[in-house]
Formats: sequence, C-alpha cells, structure tokens
Amino acid sequence: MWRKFLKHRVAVIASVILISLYTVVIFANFFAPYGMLTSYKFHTYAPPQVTKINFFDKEGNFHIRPFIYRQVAARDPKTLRFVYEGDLKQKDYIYFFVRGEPYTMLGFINSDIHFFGVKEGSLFLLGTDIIGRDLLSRIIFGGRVSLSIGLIGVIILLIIGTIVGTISGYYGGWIDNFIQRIIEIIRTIPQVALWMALASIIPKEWPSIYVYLGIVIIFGLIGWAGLAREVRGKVLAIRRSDFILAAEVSGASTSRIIAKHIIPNVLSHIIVIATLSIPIMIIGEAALSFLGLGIKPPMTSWGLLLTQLREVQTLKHFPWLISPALFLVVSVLCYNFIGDALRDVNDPHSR
Amino acid sequence: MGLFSYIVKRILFSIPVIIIISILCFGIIQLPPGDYADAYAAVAASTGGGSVSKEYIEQIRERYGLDQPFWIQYWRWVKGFPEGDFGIAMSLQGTPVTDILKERLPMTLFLNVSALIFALLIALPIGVFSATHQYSMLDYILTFIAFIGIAIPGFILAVFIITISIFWFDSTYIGRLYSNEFIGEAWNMDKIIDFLKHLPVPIIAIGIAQTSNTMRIMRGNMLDVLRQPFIQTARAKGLSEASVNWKHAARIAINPIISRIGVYLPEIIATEMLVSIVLNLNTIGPLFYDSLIAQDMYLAGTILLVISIILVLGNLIADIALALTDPRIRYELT
Amino acid sequence: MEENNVLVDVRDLAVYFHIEQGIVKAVDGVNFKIEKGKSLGVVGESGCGKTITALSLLLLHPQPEGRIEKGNIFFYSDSGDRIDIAKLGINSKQIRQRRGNDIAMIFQEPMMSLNPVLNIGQQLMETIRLHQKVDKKTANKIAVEALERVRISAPERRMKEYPFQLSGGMRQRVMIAIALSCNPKLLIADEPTTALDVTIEAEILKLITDLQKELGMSMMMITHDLGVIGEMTDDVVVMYVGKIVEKASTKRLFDEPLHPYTKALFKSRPEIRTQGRLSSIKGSVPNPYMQPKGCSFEPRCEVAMDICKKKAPGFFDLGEHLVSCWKYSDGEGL
Repeated sequence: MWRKFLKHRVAVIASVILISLYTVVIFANFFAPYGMLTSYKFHTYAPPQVTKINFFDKEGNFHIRPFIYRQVAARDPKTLRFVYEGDLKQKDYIYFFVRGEPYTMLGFINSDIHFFGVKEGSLFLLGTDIIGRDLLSRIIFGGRVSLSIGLIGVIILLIIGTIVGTISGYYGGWIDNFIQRIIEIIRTIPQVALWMALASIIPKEWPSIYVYLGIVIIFGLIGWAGLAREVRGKVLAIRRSDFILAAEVSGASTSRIIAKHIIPNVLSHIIVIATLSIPIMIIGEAALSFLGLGIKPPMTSWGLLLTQLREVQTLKHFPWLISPALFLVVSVLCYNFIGDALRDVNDPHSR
Repeated sequence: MGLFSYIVKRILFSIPVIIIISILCFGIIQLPPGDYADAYAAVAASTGGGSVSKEYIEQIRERYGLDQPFWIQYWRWVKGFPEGDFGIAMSLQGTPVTDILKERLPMTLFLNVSALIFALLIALPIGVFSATHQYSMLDYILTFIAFIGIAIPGFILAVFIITISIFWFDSTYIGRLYSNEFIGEAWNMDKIIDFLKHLPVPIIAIGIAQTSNTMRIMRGNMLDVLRQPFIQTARAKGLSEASVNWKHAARIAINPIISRIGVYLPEIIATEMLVSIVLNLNTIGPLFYDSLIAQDMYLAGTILLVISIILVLGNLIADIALALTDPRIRYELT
Repeated sequence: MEENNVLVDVRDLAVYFHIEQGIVKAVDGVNFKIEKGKSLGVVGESGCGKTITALSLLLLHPQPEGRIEKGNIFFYSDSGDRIDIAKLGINSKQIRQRRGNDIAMIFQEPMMSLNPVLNIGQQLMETIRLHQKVDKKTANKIAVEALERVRISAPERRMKEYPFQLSGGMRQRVMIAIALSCNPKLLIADEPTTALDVTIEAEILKLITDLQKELGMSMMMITHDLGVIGEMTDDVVVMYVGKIVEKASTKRLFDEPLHPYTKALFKSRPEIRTQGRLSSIKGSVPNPYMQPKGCSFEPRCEVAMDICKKKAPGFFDLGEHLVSCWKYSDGEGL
C-alpha cells in the first residue's frame, strides 16, 4: 500500500514539505528569528530583507557567511513613512544557532537560541508589519494555529461523520431517511454563511484559546455532513455483501460486525476524505479570521495576518504582507496532492 | 406535461425544507448569549457613548420582544412572511428588513449570476479548444494555468485578483461599486459607465475559482464525447470540424456541467460574500457580516434564509435547464 | 474513354499509424476499383485494415496518428473529372463536399452512431441543408421522403423522435436514410448489420440492395461475413493484415477460392450439414509491429512452402482472378 503511494512523486514531495512545515511550526520559538509579539518601533513596514542578503560586499570581496548591511530607518519627508537604507559601514553577519530573544517553547523548553539570525541589527526576511513585528516570525507562529485547526477539526469530523454515516448506511430504513434529510438541510445552507453565523456565536470576551477551540468545534460540526454521506454510500455498498451476511448468520452482534467488518473496509475511503477535508478547514479558518470572526489576538493565524490587507490600498504600498497567503496556498496544495494520491492508491478508477 | 409536474413536485418538496431551514437560521442567530439589546449596549460602551442605563436596555428588550421565549419570537418573525414582512432591522434604526433587502438583493443576484456566466463563458470555449487541440503546446499551457486555478483556494484567488488589479489598473475603480458622485443618483449613461468600470474586478474575483475547474471538466467531457461513434457519423456527413465540435460534441459535453451548476452556486455565493466584504460592495455580504456582529436576528436570520432559498432555487433551475437540454432526461420524466 | 465506368480507383494506397510503440501499417499497398452501379465487397478478419481502407476514402481515418503514406484515391465525377482524394487536405472544403454528398458511409453501431440529443429530423435535415441549397420546408419534405424510402412507418412522426426511442433496425434505417438523402454515387457500408438481430439483418440487407438498384449507386460493403458478400456483392477483395490477398468477382471467388486464407475462411463458416468441430485457422493475426519478411499469412498457412518465408508474393493473374500467393506463381492452381 505504501509503496503505491511512494510512486506518486508529487505526493511524496508534498508530504515532505508538509512535514517540514509542521516541524518548523511546532518548534516555532526556535525557528523564528523573533518573538511573535515583539515589535520594533523603528522598523515599521520594513520591506523584505531577503533580497538584501549579500555574499559579496561593495568592494567585490566574497564572504562565506552571508551578511546584510545594517538597515537604518529614516523618515521620508513626503510620505512620513520609514524608508530603509543599508549602512555600508556596518555588516551584520547571519549566524545559525544564534542567541536572541529568550523563550519558553512548548511550555518547558527554556532557551534563547534561534535557528538563524543576526547578532546585532535586524534581519526581517519577509519584512515587518504596521507596528514593526517581523512577518516571518509571525507567520511561523501563526502556522501553529492554521495548521493545527485542520487536524483537530478533522478528528471531530471523522468521529461524527463516521458514526452517523455508518448508522445511516447500516440500518437503512427510516433512520437512514431521517439522517439524509438532516444532511440535505445542512448542505442547503451555504457553508460560508454557516461558518460566519456560528463563529459570531463565540463571545468576544473569551480568551484566545477558547476561541480557537470554538472554531475547531464549529468546523467539525458543520463538516461532518459530507463525510457522513460518503461513508453511508460505502457502507450501503458493502452492506449486502456476502461476507456481511455470513457474519450476521453466524450470530455476530451488530457492533462486532460494524467494528470488525464494515469499518476496516471503509477506512481507506475515510482517510482519503479526511485528508481532503483538512485544506477546506484551513481555508475556512483563514477566511473567518480574515473577516475578523475567527482567531483573536494575541493568538495569530495566517488568516489573521491577512486582515491587514482588508484595506486595499495597503497592499499597493506594502505588497510583502501577502506572504501568509503563499503559505496557505502551499499547505492546501500539499494536502490536496496527498489526498489525490491516497485516493488513487485506494481506487484508481475513482477519477 | 411531465416537465411541468416535475417542477411543481420539486417546488412542493422544497417547502418543508425551507421551513426547517428558517427555524434553523433563526435559532442559530439566537444562539449567542445575550441578545440585540446586550450587543447594543456593548457597542455603545465601546464606542465611547458611555454605558447605557439598565432601564434603557430593558426598554429595547420590551420593544422588540427580546424577552419572549424562542417560539414566540420565531412566530413573530414568520407570521409576517405571507405579507412580505420579514421583521425590522434593529441595528439600522428599525428599517424594515424587506426594504433593506430590496435594496441590496438585486445587486447581489446580479453579481453572482454575472460571475457564474463569466466563469462559464471563459471556461467552456477554452475547454473545447483544449480538447480539440489535445497535446498541443497551447493545451499544456492552459492545463497548467487551470491547475493553478484549481489548486489555489477560492478566496485567496479572489484576494489575489484584487491585488493584481490594484497594481495594474487604476485603483479608484476598485472597492465599492459606484464612485462617490453617483451614489444615490438616478441611472444615467455616465453612471452606467462608471458602474461598468467598477464591475470587472469583483466579477472576475468571484468567478475565477470556478473557471479552472470547469475548464478541466469541459475538456474531459469533450474528449469523451469526441470518441463516440456519432462524431464520426457527423464528419462523414461532410460537416466542418467547427460544426462537429460545437453543434454536436460541445452540446453534449455541456450537460454534466449544467447539472453541476447546483454545486457551483454555494461556492460563488461564499466567494461573493468574502469579496464584497473586502471590497466594501453594496451587496448582502457586508450586511450579513454587520448584522451577525450586532446580533440583529431579524436581519441576519432573513439573510441566511434568503441565501438558502437562492441556493435551493438555483439547484432547481439547474435541474430544469438540464431537462431542457437533454431529451433523454425529459423523456424519463414523462 | 475506357475509364468511364469506373467510379473509384484506388492505387497502391498505404495508411500507416504512427504511435508510441512504432509504426503500424494498417493498410499496406492496396489496389482496387469500384465500378459505377456495381458493388464491391471487402472481406477479412478484424484488424485486417478493411475499415481503415474505407475510412480513408473519405479521409476519415483516425488523425493525427493515421496518415496516408502513399497512393492515390481517384474519384471520377459526373463530368469525367478525376480528383485524387488522397491529396486533399484533411477536413478541407473539397473533401467535405464529397462527404455525405458524393460518397456516403454508414457504420456498424446505429445506437452510438446517431447523436442522442438531436431528433431524427434535425439529423436528417442537417445533411440535406448542408449539401443542397434548399429552405427548411423543402428540406423537411426531402427528409420525410428519405424516411419513406427506407420503409420507415409514420415518417412524419419519426422526424420528431429521438434515437433512443427507436429500435436497432429502425436506427440503421435512419442512418441509411441520412446517407442516401443527397443521392450519393457511392455508399460505403461498414459492417452495417453486425450489431443487429439476424432477422433484422436480412431486412436491412435487402433494403440496401433494393436502394442500390433503385438509385444506381455503387457500393462498398465491408464485412467479415462471407454470407453477406455472397448475397450482396458483384466483386470482392479479400484482405489480410493490411494487404489484399485475393481479388475476383464474387461468383468466381465462391466457385473457386484460391488463396489459402480465403479457403480457410470458407471452411470456417458453419453450415447446416456441418458436423463435428468447426474448423478454424490455426494461429492468430500477427503482431502489427512485427511484419514478417515473407508472406504475412505464412505462419498460419497449411500449405506454406520455403519461399513463402523469404519473399512476399506479388499478384498473379489467373484471368480476372488475382491472387497473392506463391502457389500460383506459374499460373496454375494446386
């Protein structure tokens, strides 16, 4: 089974990318050069400094260690915004495992070592936002929320969807009918509207973490309908199979039949659907947060980072603020590739 | 006759569904703790209007019947339906919901439908072209573009389009649907032109997500149809390739897409809501958003209901369209 | 002119398929003539190239893999002009003017060969209006007449019906009606009755023969069924793996089949008096990518000689009866 998956090169690459992403965000404090909330008053709206990394200095000398000329802020007299110039007299070298802001990672690891950074001066690879917070660091921290919501939400969705779908498909009759009607009704209300409505239920006063949980639960609650329908379909298909009949005739109890015979057979389909549901949730969270109905500060997510773009003019002047969207796209793409490959491995004819 | 009774049956079946949805909608809006009165007080407090007195809050409660049990409130809302009374928008100085919707609904529908037509107009011919020129360089390029379009999720694409437009086009036409001078004015030629200049960005942003998907599906359908024997018959008659492709092949290849319009609609509606909030358009999206925050249950509930009905209707229309274009389905219905 | 009773003259026609795995010589140098008013049968197993030969007369061979590598397909119009179809552009105006007009074709599977979403009338009138400059009313009349000619009952009613509403036999009649609607000079029939019940088959075959006599058409009948050949054709060519192996008048062929392959074909037909096992030709059709150097039938031939393996035989003329077999190289039969 796994071997077939490995044949899909794209999916394998996608998996590698995702694993890397997840690793980075789990150890966010370490990988991010700066803290999530630290702001640098004199570096607001700094453009990305990735392009300013040099190996050659002005005199043409090559340095193995990349460096960046110290960025000095000056106010543009016309727009009153900060403009950044490299100070040619100051080279800030980039080090790995450099000491920076202290942190407590995952609740128990205390350290101040960061994956990369500069000893003095600043290195804002993707620029900064309106109050001078490093965008890259915030993206890394935000990834924690964006990438985890999909996973946790999917678990809820899996449980509810599988149970309901299996019951619906196995028992048939009026239970099936009833559940199907409910699913239809849920599907009739546009999902986004439903998300918005349910998200607005979350009280504003709740701390960020509860809001997070609330959003996760909402996604799980709304999304199960699709999975339930699929599961029901597969269960119905197997229901009449001979081996199920044999199990029933030999006196196996219903729960045993379901557990030992039906579920293993639909498991692979469930996994495929689950994998393909994750990106939907990631997008959903991003959309909600983008609208201000989702994650609340001080937590941050990729969607929330994009709120600054609500003002269309912002993007014109500070285009780098759209980088979180790239991460969103990449994650969603990867999940979709993996889901497609899984589906192909499962049932090559389903396309 | 069969087609007519089919339509009637479908409509009849939708009614109980809509009723249940209305209950759901209303209930969902009511879920957050507190009610409009509390939200009002909260807003007043945070905007620096000072705190509102308890008696005033109670007054508001009484006036709008917010202290009644759920079913009574629901009934108050529903009983106005036959007369077209959907309650009043408390957050908008008590304007009847119907009036507000009358103002915004047409534009919303217009945008949604336009976006859908836009998506189809672009995707279908490209799909046909891609199929008839299979494996050509152009096909590969189009496939690649389509793939990107499919991979990037809807609302990000929309934001992306908006971003690009800002850089490429005159940004005064982005955001809102009318330039300031024309708000509230009667329709004249200038206003129409101004409106048309504002249109492309929202419509493209809303419709683009559907385009890629449709393109691929159309291409796939065309390839399937072109393999069928009757295509050879058509050629043997002496028809030109163009005739064969369009009059015969495309006509059949379109059917599955028409039947799936029902699936497109929710996506379009969803994207439209997001886009209109970002661009501050004059449609239902921002209205819904605001009403949710204000917990204005009549307004929000009605909007939710209306959107659901639009969806149900859209599906119905799609099914009817399919019956009209495919005689095999029409035959089955009789 | 001596040629004036020839309608189609095919000379050294070769159609090769260029695909990934190599080149398939579907038609490898065939020569035959179709005379005015007479019918030619083309018989052989599946895959021998008979269908491709027929399709290439109308340049309908699968593209872009299939290409006419060499040869001529001369077609003589009424005025005595000769055009080489092989040199016309695929789907060019000239070839399209011939299709359905001078040369018509009917295919094997009537269900899939008619467009499912257009009614009979539309499909008939399409051809008529394409080649004849008539208005809708006249076209309608012509269409109904065409239906009458193929002995379909209640023709006006049928015009409004759809293919799925008709039986297999009726659909084939419609196909014939469409093919004959513009009075073609040549009708190519590619296994027209293979997909039909035996009783219907007889009716359709009789219909085709009658119409051929009525309209003075030439016919090219492609089939694997020797019985059909015997009933319907004046002359016949036998094909094997892209080449013609025997050519004669039907009477001659049935009296005295010469080529070992032809003899085997005759032997494998079940007859009423057959007892015991049916004889079949040993071996199977060779791999299309690996043509043997000598005679292509040699591996399966029961009377193969040494030379058969080494050199491919040319044609030997035994007096209006051509065979491609070394056994007849000195003009005698064995």
